[in-house]
Parts: sequence; C-alpha cells; structure tokens
Amino acid sequence: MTKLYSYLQLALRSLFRRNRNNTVKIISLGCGLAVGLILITKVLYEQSFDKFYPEADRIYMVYENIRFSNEGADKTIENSGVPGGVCGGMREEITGIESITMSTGLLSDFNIFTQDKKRVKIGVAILADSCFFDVVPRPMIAGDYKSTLGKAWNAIVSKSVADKIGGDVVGQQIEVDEYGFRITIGGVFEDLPKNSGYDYDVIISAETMEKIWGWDPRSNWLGNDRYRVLFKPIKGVDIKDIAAQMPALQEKHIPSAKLKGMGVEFKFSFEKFADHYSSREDVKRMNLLLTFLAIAMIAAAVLNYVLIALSSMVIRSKEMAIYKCYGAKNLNIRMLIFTETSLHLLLSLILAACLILLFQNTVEDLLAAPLSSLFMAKSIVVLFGICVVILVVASYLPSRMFSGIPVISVFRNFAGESKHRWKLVLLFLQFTGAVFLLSLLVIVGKQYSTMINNNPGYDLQNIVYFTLPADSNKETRQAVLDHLASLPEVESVTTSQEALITSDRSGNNVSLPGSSESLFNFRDLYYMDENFLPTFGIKIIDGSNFSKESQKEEMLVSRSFAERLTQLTGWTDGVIGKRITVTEHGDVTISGIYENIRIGSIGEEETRPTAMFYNPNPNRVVSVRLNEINNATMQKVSKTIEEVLPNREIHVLIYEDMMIDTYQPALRFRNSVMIGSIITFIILLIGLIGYLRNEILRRSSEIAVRKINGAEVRDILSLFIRDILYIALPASVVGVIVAYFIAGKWMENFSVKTPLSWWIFAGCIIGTLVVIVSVIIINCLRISRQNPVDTLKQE
Amino acid sequence: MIQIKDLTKIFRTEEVETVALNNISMEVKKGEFIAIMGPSGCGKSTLLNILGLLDNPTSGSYLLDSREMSNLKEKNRTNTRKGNIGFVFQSFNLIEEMSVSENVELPLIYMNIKASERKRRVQDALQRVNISHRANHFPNQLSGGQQQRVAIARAVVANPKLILADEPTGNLDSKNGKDVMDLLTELNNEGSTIVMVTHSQHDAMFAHRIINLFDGQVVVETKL
Repeated sequence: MTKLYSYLQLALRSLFRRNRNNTVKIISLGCGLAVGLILITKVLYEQSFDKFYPEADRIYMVYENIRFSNEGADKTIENSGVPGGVCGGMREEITGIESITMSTGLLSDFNIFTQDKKRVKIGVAILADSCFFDVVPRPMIAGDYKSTLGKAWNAIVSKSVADKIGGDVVGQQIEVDEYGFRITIGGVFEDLPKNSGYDYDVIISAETMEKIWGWDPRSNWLGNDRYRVLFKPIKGVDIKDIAAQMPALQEKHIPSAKLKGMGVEFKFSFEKFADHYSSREDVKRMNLLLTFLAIAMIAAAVLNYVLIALSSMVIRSKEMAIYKCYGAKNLNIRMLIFTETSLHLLLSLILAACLILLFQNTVEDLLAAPLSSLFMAKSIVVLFGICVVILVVASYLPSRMFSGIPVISVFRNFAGESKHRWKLVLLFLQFTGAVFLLSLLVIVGKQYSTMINNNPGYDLQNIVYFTLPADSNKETRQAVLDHLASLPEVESVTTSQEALITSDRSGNNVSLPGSSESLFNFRDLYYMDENFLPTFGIKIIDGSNFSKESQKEEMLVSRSFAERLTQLTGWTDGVIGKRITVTEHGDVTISGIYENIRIGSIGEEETRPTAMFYNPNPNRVVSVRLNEINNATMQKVSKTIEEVLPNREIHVLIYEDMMIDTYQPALRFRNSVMIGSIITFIILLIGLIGYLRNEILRRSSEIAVRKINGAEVRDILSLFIRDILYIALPASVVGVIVAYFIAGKWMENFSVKTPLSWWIFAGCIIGTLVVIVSVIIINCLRISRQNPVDTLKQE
Repeated sequence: MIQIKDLTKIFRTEEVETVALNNISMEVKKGEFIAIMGPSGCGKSTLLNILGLLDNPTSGSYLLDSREMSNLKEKNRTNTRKGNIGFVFQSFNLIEEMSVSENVELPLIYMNIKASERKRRVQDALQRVNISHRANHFPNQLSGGQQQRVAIARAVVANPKLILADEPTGNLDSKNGKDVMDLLTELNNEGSTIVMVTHSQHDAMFAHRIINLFDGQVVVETKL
C-alpha cells in the first residue's frame, strides 16, 4: 500500500513536469475517449432496443413472408404486419402459447382536446387488445389495462400524456382533434424507455376498430397486413413446436391452392421481438460502422499516448536507472508506469466526461438519443471493461520498455535506438487512422451531398404541404384549395391522399381481368387530382395526365410499372388503354405512364413500381407551389387556411426541409465522422509534434555535426521529412484502402451512390502529407537554424 | 572485502571490439578509501559499474565479501546491491519528483523496511550530512553542494558495506567539493569502505590508496 501510495504521489508530482508532455497526453487521450466511448454507448444503446421488457427473450413476433411465383427467392418480402385474423387464430388453435396480443398504429403527431378544452399534442396512438400488457408489460400507475382495453372507446395513456392533460385523468374523456371521436381514459402506464422500438403514448382498445373503420379486421386472413402480433410461449415450450403448427393454421385459413392460384407463396415465421430492431440491416450496418469509428478513435488516442510516452524514454532513462540502481526491480518500474498511466487515464476520463457534458446538446443531436438513456448499467460495465483494456494497452508497452532500460544508464545517456522502431510502428498506425478517417469523411460528405441533390423525378422547390383534418368535409377542403389558388404568391395547388414523403408502404396486387393470378405488387400512391403531376413537375412519357373529365377507374402508372406489366403479359402494343385488375380498386384503365419517381429517401426508397388513381374530390394532403418560400408567403398560406378552418391547428411544412429531414441518419453519421476525423487529426498532430520534439532532442548532436560538416537548413529539414514520409506514405495508402472498403459497406445503404473516384483518395493522401510536412517544417526549423556550437555546448 | 582477479570487460558491436578492462586484479580491504584515477576512456567507470554490480565482467573473478559476483544474473545483482552498496554520482542523480527525504528513503523502500524505521534512518542520514533542515524540499530547490549531500545521505542510509563514488565533486565548486570530500572522509572514518573515481589529484589525496588505470590496466598503485 505504501508503495502504491508513493507511486501515486510520484505520478501526481510528475504531471506538470517539463518534457513529459503529460498535459498533451491527457488532452489527446481525453478527446479520443470522449468521442470513442460515446460512440460505443450509442452502439450498445441501439442493441438494447426492446430488451427492457421482463422476460424479453420469451417474447416473439409473427412475420409473414411473401413472394410472387414469377419472382426470384431474393424478392421475398418479410413483413412484420400480418392480417387481423392471425392473432385470434393462433390464440385458439395453436398450443403452447401463454399469451398473445395484436396491435396496430392508428395516429401519430395528433392533437386531443381535454374535458376542459385544453389542446394537448400527442405522439403516437395505437390500437391494441386487452392482452397487450400480458405480453409486453408496462407498470400501471393507475387503473386497470385489462378491463380498459376490453371496452370500445376506452384507452390507457402514458404518464407523460397524463401529466400533460393534468389532474386525475382516469375517467376523463378526451376528443381526438382530427377524427372527432371521444375516448375515455381508463388507466395510466409508465412511459416507455427511449430504447423502445415500438413507440406509443396512448393505447386505444382494439374493440374500437370496428367503430372507427366500420369493419372488424379480426376475422380477416388475407390482405390488410398491418397488425403486429406478439406472443409468449409457455415456459419450457420450444418455439419450433409452435412454428411447426403454423402451416396447418395457414392451410385452414389461407388455403395453399388459393395462394397458388394467386401466384403467391406465403408463410409465417417468428423472430424474437427484442431482435426486431437490432436485426434490421440498416441498424446492423450503422452499428458496425460506428463500432469501427469508435475503435479507430480510441486506438488513435491510445496509440498516441503510447507514442508520446515512449518518446520520453530518452529523457526518463536516467530516472529509471536510478530506481534500479537503488534496488527497484522491473516489477517496481512497471508498477510506477502503470500508476502514472492509471492517473492519466483517470484524468482523461474526467476530461472526456466534461467535454461530453459541455457539448451535451451536440452529442444528443448527433446520436439522436438523450445522454441519460445512453449510459445504462450494461453500457457502464462495457465502458469500464474498455477502460481496463485501454489501461493495459496504454501501460503495457511503456512499462515494458521503461523496465528494460539498463541500470547502466545511470552513468550514460540511454540512446534507445532499438525502441525507436516501436515509435515508427505507432506513428504508422496513427497516420493510417488519420487518412482513413479523412477519406471516410470526404466520401460520406460527398454521398450526403449526392443524396440531398439527387433528382427524385419530381421538383420540390418552393412546394409546401399540409394535411387537412380528417373530419373536414368536401366543401371545406374545396374552399381551402380555392382560397389558396387565388393568392398571387401561389403558382398551383393540388391534393392527394398521401404526401410524396411518407413512411407508408401500402401496396396492391395487379392481375388481368378474369384471372385470379397476381402478377406483381406495386406501391399504391392512391388518389390525387389532375394538378398533381404538373405541380410536382412529374413528366408524362406516354398517354395523358388526369383531367377534370377523368373517371375514378383511371390510373397512371410509372415507367417501371409499365415495363413489368409488358414483360409479364407479353403485350407488344404498350399498356395505354389496357384494363387491369387491382386489389382494392377493381378493374381500372391505364391512361398514362409517368417517369419513375422516388418514394422515400435514398436508402429507404420504395423499390416497387408506383401507380396513382384519380379522385375528383379534394383529398386531405394539400401541396402548394409558391413562387417563393419566405416568412411572408408561409404566413400568408397559414393565414388563408386559418380563415377557412379557424381554431384548427394545421402545420404547413416545406417539402424540401422534410426531404432533408429524411437524411438525418446520414447527416448524423457524416457529422460523427467529421468530429472523429477532426479529433483524430488533432491527436495525430499532437503525436507527431511530440515525436518530433523527442527526435530533435535525440538527434541534436547529430544535426549539429551535420551542420558543421556543411548541411544547410534544407538538408536538415529533408532529413526529418524523408524519415517521416517513409512511414506516412505507405500508411496513407493503407488508410485509403480501409476507407474504400468501409465507405463501400456504408454506401450499401443507398441505391444512389457517389462514385469513389481515385482522385478522392489521392487528394486525401496529398492533403494529409502536406499537413504532415508543414508540421515537420514548423517544428524542425528552429533546430535546423540553430548554431551547431550552441547545441554541442548544451550536450 | 573486494577481490578482483583477471577481470576483463569487452564491449562488442557488430564491427568493433573494445577492451575496456584488461585482466585487472586488485583488492580493497574493509574500511579502505580507494581513489581510481586515469585518463578518459581508461576504464574507470566500467570498473566502478562492475564493482557496483551494475554490469557483469566478460571474464575473471569478482569476490565481494568472499562471494563470487562475476556471473550473477540481473535479479541477483539487484538483490545483492540492495543495502550493500551505496552510489554517489557526479551529476547527483536525484529524482526530481521526490523530496529530499523521499530521495534518501528510496533504497529503504526497496529493502521492505517498515515505515517508522525508514523515517528514523532517513532523519539520521540527513543529520549526518547536515541537510535535515531541507528534508521537505525538492532537488531543484537546492544548490549543487546540497544536492550532492542528499545523494551521499541516500548512499549511506542503508548502511552499505561499500560506497562507490563517481567523480563526486565533478559538478561542484571548490568549497562545496571540499565539503563533500570531508563528508566522505568522515564516513570512511566511521567504517565505510569507499571506492572513488576521480580526475582530481586533490580529491584523490583524501584516499588511502590511489590506483591508476591506463588502457584498461592497472599501471600504478600508490599508497598515501
């Protein structure tokens, strides 16, 4: 203990000693740890989704797997939404299930009116049956979920919603603004944690479905695949035994002959609910990249620490030899260095924590999660483990090297030539990391720019949109359109059932009239008016656009829709004027073909062909093309809506902003890489400067002798530059190769990819080398100009 | 106390072989004060390193208290050094992060002596070299002469049988140099065996015997 205390005391005293570069070591390690550890917590946070439920390992979700017979196995669609009949069917006919529940999304970002007419904004409302909390439990604060969710027009709300409403909410009636229906609150549950992949604030009884929609989907087994079915097997029952019963259930309710006739292959499968979010390809890919980035950051910081520590060997050799001279064993020296490293690591962690707290808002924005959620018990254990590894790595090499300093160094300076190779290896790794991150940053930045500037097939410039209330009638909607159209700032107005930027994935099947065989599934954009295509600048390539004379059974299809149809039917005279059968719409005539448009952001875009249908009556989503978007025009649009719909809260959104919003994950990743690159570059420069300082010290007499023998400033500088470039050049090549593969992996997320030209990598290598050479020149200029006699005198 | 016979030390690099000590034989009795002199490169420091168990000879015999030291491994050399040999260096070699008393305490820590005993011995040693009033200062707060006195206190604190001094006055002015030599003489009078390497004829005169080296060999031995 005494020894440990004395080591600690020595470490504390040596903190601010000259030539030890401890401040630099701690700052660079602290910065690297701040970013690296926060990225690790983000990855752990992403992997913790939906694992907070009790017995989360026992909760399974039902998936349906659909494939058209005329398409390859790779076209199988896995859908976490299933028809409404599945839950009831499994409950009644499958053995081994302890509890099962169905639920579906109903509303998001909507308003309610409380009994005292207070307007409250609510996030998400779902419909669920009374067994919901049997499977995915949340603690109840008030009321009873079972009885509440068993009655129509009843709901339970989260604590935060209850707090917003205020008072004792149980028994209160609330009115849903857009739909106008009333529900009674029967209970309050604890808020879901942030790492919930299935988010909801209000659960309305599934018994209400029939009242809202006019039909009860719980007996339907085909189509309307929007219900999430979750279940828990009885303890000890193998999930495979339950899965084995599913084909019989499917055959009973969806006969295979019927499916075959439709040209569809269909089956159910199960997956652990806790894996639903973390097994998503985009989540897995992003986690992999963030882990890689975090490791690169931490490694750069730790290697830099080791590099600076080893660089001080020449200066500290005598100190180590004195210890040895007076009886210190290798273990004592190792313990001394270990204690120093521990203290430095502790201070770096404190610095990292301060930086994280100082930039809390930026960090939370970057990671799209609050700090309090990121630091869970599991994260803290993992972070502690990482810190232990860092401590071992950061102290092992220096302690080994320092303990190897011969005791004889007490009489003469220790040159440490053989240890010089270690420093070069570390420098190589640092250069590799810096070039890797710089190249990654350039590629990610270019990809982001490509995405936001990519032509989706329509022009969103100067277009704003809003959604009219569900309870607004035809006349009110028309009045809104007419008022807007009359404004001089408005170039055109159009209505549609959906906005072009939507997360909806609704689709329908195409077949030929009289045939039950489905040809393919397409993304249904549903209804719009004749102004839709001109307003968005979507080009008609064949046939004609909708007109006021168009009928409801007319449809426009995309180029890929027409091509697919031609391919499958063998029609040689095109598709214009042809009659086809579409589920949900019946027999319709194709009146025009428009150029392919992108639905959703790059990376999450719809891959199916698209089609639109005509509706002469105004729909809920209104899009307005203005001659310019500014505060005045936005206010004018809002005021015009308010004139027709007073006291209704309607948000006018800018299409382009919403589109950019869909690229938030890519933007966050770009910013993470940017911060990582900047910090790694700073760390690299600190390491390089530390290395150079010690090299200058180590080689000062050599430089003086060279100068005496005729070397000029240029010769001395080139001596250092050449030595470093021997390391930097191959390291840069390795860095860009790693960046090429990692960036390629990240870009698998996107269908439109920025080209990875050779000049990007060449530019990154040249840029890094220019910075390195500049740092060398700045740091070595003084010694190369110094009078050699002075240097030798100091020796 | 020390018996050296046919001691040779050869430094080898890839291309060059340098004979630092060439078949040296000598003896140092308990309580003796020996000065080793000679020009630079004659092998004085090499001899001192071997005597101080900081290095092994290439061949020959080195008996310290009748125990053979020439083939000891690093670990055994360290253990033997502890408490048996004290060092005084030309450049003092105090540890900058340690206070005066901590520097003096250093050899005792590695001998696993109890804290209370260490404290007592450190006080004694500091009083012996007349620097106890500076016990809590750090080396950079002391003059060169004071630093060397601290180094001597550190060398004697473990009551070693042998004190090796490598040009102990080399970095000091004449007054401080004299003080240090007086101190070494006093220690010798109290029973310590001292082997001192020096370039200074004046300092060498404090010894009982002067051994002159040249090209790794003993050329003259003078009793005073």
